[in-house]
Amino acid sequence: MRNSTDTTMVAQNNKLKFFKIIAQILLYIICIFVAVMVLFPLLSLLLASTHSSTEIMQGFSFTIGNSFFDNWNNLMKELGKQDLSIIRSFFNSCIISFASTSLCIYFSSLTAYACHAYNFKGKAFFEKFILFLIIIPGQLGAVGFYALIVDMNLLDTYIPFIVPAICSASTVFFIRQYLRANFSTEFIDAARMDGASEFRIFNTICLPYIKPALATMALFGIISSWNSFMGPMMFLTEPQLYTLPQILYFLTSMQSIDYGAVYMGVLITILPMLLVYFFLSKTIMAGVSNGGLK
Amino acid sequence: MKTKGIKRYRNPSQRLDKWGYVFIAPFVLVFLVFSLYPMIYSIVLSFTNQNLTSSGAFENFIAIDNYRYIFSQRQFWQSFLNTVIIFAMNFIPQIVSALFFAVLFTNKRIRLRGKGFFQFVYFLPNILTATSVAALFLFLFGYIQTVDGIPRGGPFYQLLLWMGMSDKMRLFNEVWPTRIIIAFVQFWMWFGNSMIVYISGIKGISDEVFEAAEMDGASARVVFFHITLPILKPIMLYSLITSLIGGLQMFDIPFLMGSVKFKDGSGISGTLTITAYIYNFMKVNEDYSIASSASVILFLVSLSLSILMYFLFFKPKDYSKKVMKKVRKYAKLD
Repeated sequence: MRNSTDTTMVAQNNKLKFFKIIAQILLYIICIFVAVMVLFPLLSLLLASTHSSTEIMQGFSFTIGNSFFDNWNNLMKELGKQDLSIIRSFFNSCIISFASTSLCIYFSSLTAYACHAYNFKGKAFFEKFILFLIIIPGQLGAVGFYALIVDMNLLDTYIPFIVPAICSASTVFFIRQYLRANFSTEFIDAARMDGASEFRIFNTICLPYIKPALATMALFGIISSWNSFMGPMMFLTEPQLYTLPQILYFLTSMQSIDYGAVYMGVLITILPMLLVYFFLSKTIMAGVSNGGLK
Repeated sequence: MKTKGIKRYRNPSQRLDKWGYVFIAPFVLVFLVFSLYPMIYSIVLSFTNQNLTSSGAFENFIAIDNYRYIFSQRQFWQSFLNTVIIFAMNFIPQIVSALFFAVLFTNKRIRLRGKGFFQFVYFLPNILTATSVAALFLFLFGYIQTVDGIPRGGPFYQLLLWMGMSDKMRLFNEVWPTRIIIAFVQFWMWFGNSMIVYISGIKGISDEVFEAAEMDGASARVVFFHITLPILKPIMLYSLITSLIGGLQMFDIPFLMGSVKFKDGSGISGTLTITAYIYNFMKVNEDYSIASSASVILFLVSLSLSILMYFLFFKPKDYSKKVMKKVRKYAKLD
């Protein structure tokens, strides 16, 4: 009697174990399948950038070609015909990303610090207003913004991408939360006792203290302005001023396409972001989860 | 100098609080010039038929004629519909898979190796330039005109051929295939982001809740449907509404994949999104008043969604107690 229950239990246990292993394998297969789905396009991009246009037209292959530098030269030649240069566009994208992000994090910190350190009249309203600004969708002003830029004669300059970055409600909100959690106002009082001016306190005490929050916001700023497409399409018409996404748009809308050159262009556009992600993925993902629901 | 410092210290709040205004001044100034003024100007423009360069908005006041024109246009409604269709096709698989992986990667009973690696990979497409992603997929699914006449294309096109697709098919000339590809690319770029948001939501649930449920003998199914899902509900609603607002502004990928017209000769595009519709009125037709009327409509739609979100989320609720009650109830039933 006892023996028989033992054997059925063992059988049941074995069955359970077997089921568990099958489930485990199934889960691995799903995870790996999705990972391949994500990585395959990128892999094919890397491979294709080493093949010549005629090789690419022959069909996809898993081998590494030897036309990497030819593709680069072709890309330069194709773009050169239209007075475009991918190197110049690369630096244009860098300038816009760097300038807008620096302004954004500096002035957002300043605004957040004002809410943190001072009790000025109307502060409560101002803070509510910032929340409100995050919630309202931004597209309403698009046409008016374009009109303003035309009126101010700022078409074909980088001002429309850089200066408005000063007013970024979500960044202010994020830094404000960080200050509230980490930066005690006692620091400020102590610095005042030492005779430091208000700007000095902000620049030399507050800013270094909130570096982690700034780094996260800077990453987000750089990524979003590097990737932005509609703004440059609206405000930049001079080939010398084109950013990388505009170059890609130009490449894909060409009549006769050199596929190798296009893949090369795509690679150059995403490579900096891939590098950033490779080294700072933890920071980026932490930022997403912190900004996900606050 | 020294006395001044002491004076400040003795009476710090009133004396120094005016610095708050100095510090917020740049933000407010830029907001007034580059945000508020454009918004007001857009609204004014939407009731006129004036061009961008001419001045004197009130002479060209035409009341709601622009709106009447837009509402009578088939392309406008179609653009809205296109946007909603593409959004729905990417959001549903996105939320399901993000939820699946979030639960998989946070569940302590499931021992998977390489969770960190998978998260790293799944989030990766989110930081890539949408334009380059669009260009990439344009070639992966694209058809290539070759001299020898044998149908060839990108790897995904070849895969579809192998799976039995007709070689006469040009994916980017057909409305539905293009929509599906756009939705797939959006899904590809965003499911990792949702996954990370859900993971942080699940991690926010205190371990005690799960432990208590386990002690009460709740099965994995009960835990998922009666703890994880109810607690994630506000986060999921939040992500639904933010993605919907973001989805209404979808531009880069559909724009680059090209606008595919229906074959009925009406010239109506089946892949033009609402933002691309506005963009076309601005840059192609140079009709700014129509463009701003359309953006006012889009704004009102988004704003109603935002208000909905505000009332759903900015009221903190104590979910854990409610959820624990539920868990006890269901654990006993099982």
